[in-house]
Amino acid sequence: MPQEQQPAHESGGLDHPQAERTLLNAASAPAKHLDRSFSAAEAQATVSARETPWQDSREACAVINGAWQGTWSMTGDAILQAPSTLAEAGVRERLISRWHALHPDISAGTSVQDFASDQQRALFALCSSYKDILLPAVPYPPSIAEPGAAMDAVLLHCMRHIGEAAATIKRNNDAQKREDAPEEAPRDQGFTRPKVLILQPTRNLAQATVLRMCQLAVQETRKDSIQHKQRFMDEFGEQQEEEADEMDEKAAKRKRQQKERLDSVRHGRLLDGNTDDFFRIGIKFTRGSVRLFVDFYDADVIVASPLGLATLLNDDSASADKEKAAASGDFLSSVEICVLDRADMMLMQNWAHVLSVFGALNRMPSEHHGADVMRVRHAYLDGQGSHLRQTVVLSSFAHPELNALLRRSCACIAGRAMLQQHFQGVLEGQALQLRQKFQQLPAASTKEAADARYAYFTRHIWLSMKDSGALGQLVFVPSYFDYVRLRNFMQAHNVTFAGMNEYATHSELARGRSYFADGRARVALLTERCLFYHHTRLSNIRDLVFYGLPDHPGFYADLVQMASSSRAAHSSQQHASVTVLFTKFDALQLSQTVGSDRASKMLKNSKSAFIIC
Amino acid sequence: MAVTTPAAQKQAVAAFESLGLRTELAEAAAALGWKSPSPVQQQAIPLLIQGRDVIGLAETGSGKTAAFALPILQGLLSSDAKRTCAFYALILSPTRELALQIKEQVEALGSCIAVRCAALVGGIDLASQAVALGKAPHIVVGTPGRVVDHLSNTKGFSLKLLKHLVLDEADRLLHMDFEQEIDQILKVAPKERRTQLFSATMTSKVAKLQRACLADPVKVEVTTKYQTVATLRQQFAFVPAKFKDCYLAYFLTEVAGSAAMVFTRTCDSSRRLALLLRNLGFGAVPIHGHMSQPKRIGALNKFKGGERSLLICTDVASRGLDIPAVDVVINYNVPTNSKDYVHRVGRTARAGRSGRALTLVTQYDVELFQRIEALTGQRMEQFSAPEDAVMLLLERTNEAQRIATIQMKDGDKDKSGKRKGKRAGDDEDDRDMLTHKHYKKRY
Repeated sequence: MPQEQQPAHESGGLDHPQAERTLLNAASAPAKHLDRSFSAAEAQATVSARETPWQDSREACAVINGAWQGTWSMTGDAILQAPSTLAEAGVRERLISRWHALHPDISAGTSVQDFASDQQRALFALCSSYKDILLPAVPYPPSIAEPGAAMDAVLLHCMRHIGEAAATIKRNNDAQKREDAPEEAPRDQGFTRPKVLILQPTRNLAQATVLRMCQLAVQETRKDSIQHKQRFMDEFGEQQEEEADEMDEKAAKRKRQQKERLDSVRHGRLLDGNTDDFFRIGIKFTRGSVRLFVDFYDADVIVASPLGLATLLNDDSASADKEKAAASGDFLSSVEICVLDRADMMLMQNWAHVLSVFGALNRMPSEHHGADVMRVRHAYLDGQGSHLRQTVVLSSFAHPELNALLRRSCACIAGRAMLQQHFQGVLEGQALQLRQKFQQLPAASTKEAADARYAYFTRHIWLSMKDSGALGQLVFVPSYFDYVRLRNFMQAHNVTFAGMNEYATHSELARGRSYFADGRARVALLTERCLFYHHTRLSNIRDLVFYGLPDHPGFYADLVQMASSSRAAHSSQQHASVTVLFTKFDALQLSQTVGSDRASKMLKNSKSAFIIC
Repeated sequence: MAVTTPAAQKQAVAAFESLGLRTELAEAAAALGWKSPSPVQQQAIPLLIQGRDVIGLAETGSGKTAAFALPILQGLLSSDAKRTCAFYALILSPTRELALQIKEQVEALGSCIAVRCAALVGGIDLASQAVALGKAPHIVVGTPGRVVDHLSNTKGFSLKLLKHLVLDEADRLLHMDFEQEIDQILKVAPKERRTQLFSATMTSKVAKLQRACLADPVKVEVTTKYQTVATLRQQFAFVPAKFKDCYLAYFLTEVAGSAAMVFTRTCDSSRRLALLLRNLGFGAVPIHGHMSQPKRIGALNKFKGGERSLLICTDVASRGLDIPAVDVVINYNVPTNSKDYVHRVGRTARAGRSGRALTLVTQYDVELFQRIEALTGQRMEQFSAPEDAVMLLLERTNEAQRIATIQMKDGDKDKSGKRKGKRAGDDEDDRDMLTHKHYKKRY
């Protein structure tokens, strides 16, 4: 019998009593969003709506659109204001003071704004609207010890969301205990406790995120303010080399070299420190303390890698009851904010894991997990939980998968906002201009596109490659699947080639590089992930073929740069060329490579080949 | 049956209104095609509206469900709007199927006033029922075991606000089988509530009735004797136990084309009989307590929908189930408890239709059979089968028996082997009735 009514969540809010001075803004952004009632038809309408460019005369529009080079296109209601201070945005005093303590450079109170930049302010305003957000313009961080300004704003939003939710539950618990309590229980909960899910590609990024959330939640006054902090630092920090002096010289040298290479590439900082991509951690925030490594059903926030969660969700071998409950993914049933940080890096991992995590979000739980059913929000009971979830996707470049994720897997009732940028392209500023031929291939579907590429490569490009007989022919292949296809093709034609892919070992890569450089291998195949993870630098490139456009627009510039510097070294070779294959489905990558204006001309033009020099 | 003309409709509404029911509810009742209140409704509804505790005794198929449901809906309508009406009434029934049927009926009657109803029955997953409870249903219908389960495990579900408690098929619920569960429910239900007991047969033991904590109850009796309906033609056939299956096959060919329910004593024999009859080419589907709940509902729906014309059931289906088109009830075993006979044959000849009941009596059942005759106070008519015609079927029946035995064994093997956790009878329930051909080829 349920006589022993425990408070819904055993500990109340994050706020100290004195912080209650902040007037409880009944219509604070989280409450306004979560208490909104909607019909199934309305929810459906939000899903199918097409976003339109956001333009109105309000200041908010100017501020938010002006922060990035581009326009936000949105569905749902327009955003009415972009507050310049946190207090104005209805954030509680305590959280504001923690925010200021972390950002001493922002002068408290005196300045008109509480944010580091206009972009941060605009992003926080966007977050507070509870729209699904896709921001594909987050620069690479100068250091990974701290989250970037964008993620900072998102984390502030998450902490505020958790704080408000806990405060509401506590207030309602108290109200229920009073004599004159209303018979109808307030609807203020989900089926399970986790409210925020943060997906991070690697441990080093997760570490910065978790630490920042802790800092926003509590002041570390006591040793146990953050429980299990030491374990966390051990597991997520940089792996200490065991007995550094015992490491043989060769390995040390390789390490040093890699470090240097890392420093030289743009995204290098992402690969600093602990780059393990298999982790998941539950965090519980209570009054004055944070507990790390809690069971998911007790956690407020889950920070995980897509791989870490997906393996848990797809675990068929789960035998014990507890494991079974985990595999069912019930703990994701009531996630209200889902953040994908560095989605660009997840694209370099296995995107299918991200999709399987999204497939498991906001499903009806398969078991009852002890929530007070009379306090579960109606939207969850009606199976409409996914329409309450806000998804925030941060990436450093635009990608069709990200757009698809937002349009297909996210359905927030508040609508969605996607930044449409005007790209400049990466062609400018190359030291030596090369003749670059862009070849458009006709394709009716993405599936056909893969075959069209293969057909064009084997029938045209390969023939000229074979005929020329020249050394230094590099084929850049974005996807590993295409790589395998070309590898089989090469093997079938008995061609000696250097295969450089993400699965190759260091020695294989080194061998491939030197074979290619000194001409023992005429042809090299290089995948995008290999370039991303191993920063492979090749010399002696004569002909460069882009089997497809790289997802990272910077990689295009890098490779052309490599080719042009090789040509400078061998000025005798004359017919150095760059050939790029693209289809209409690569519009986004093409725009980021050659610039929006040029790309739209190329795609509209009836000609199939374009030469840029 | 349905009221078609506006005038007749109006008359029906007026008839229900005269019992003190609100217009909305009277219209809902009339919309279900009822021309006038049945005797039990006529007597019980005014008393219930007055707020009395009622013990209702009425013959099978006489609209008992509406008799207790309508006053509850009326209570909901007139209750203070400011107060929440979650968990206003709890209706308990001994079987899952009956609980689901009551829920459907209550929803049909209350659709015009947007009544929310939740069914708590075993065999269906707890989480979805917890979700249904979270929607704050006005009326909860359930079987005692599952209701107790939710009371102790689902946070937020309590009976603190309960105003009406109904025990349908009360004599079964007050029986020893449900003692613990009913006690637990009564313990947490508030003292100021209306309690109603309804059944076609009622225990006379005062001690049992007192357990239900009735407050000054009124007994509404439409019939004094345990009567069966007048439109029911009751027959018996005296058959030798050895050829019982053979006789059953003969009778079923006699009544071919009509929907029939065959009652057996045990789950196993219902399963065996279903297999046997399928092997003989009858569209038979079993329903018994050893099947999982989805299978049970599936089997019942197949029979209701006319996809299968024979339902082979245990007493799990003997009470309360309202299947309009049952033409024949066959008692393969004479019921040990004479009152069960009344319930069994009550599945046919419902709501004024005619029906036929046939009881197979072997040389060992004579005493039981006489007890039934004594209880109903009627002498049954003998149905005599020409022996030579029956014996023509013997060979085929024996073959079918043999195959059924093998199929039973196979099913058991499956159960203990790879299909662990599946319950006996699940596997062959859905197998097409044509499987016997396949078996014939093999053996």
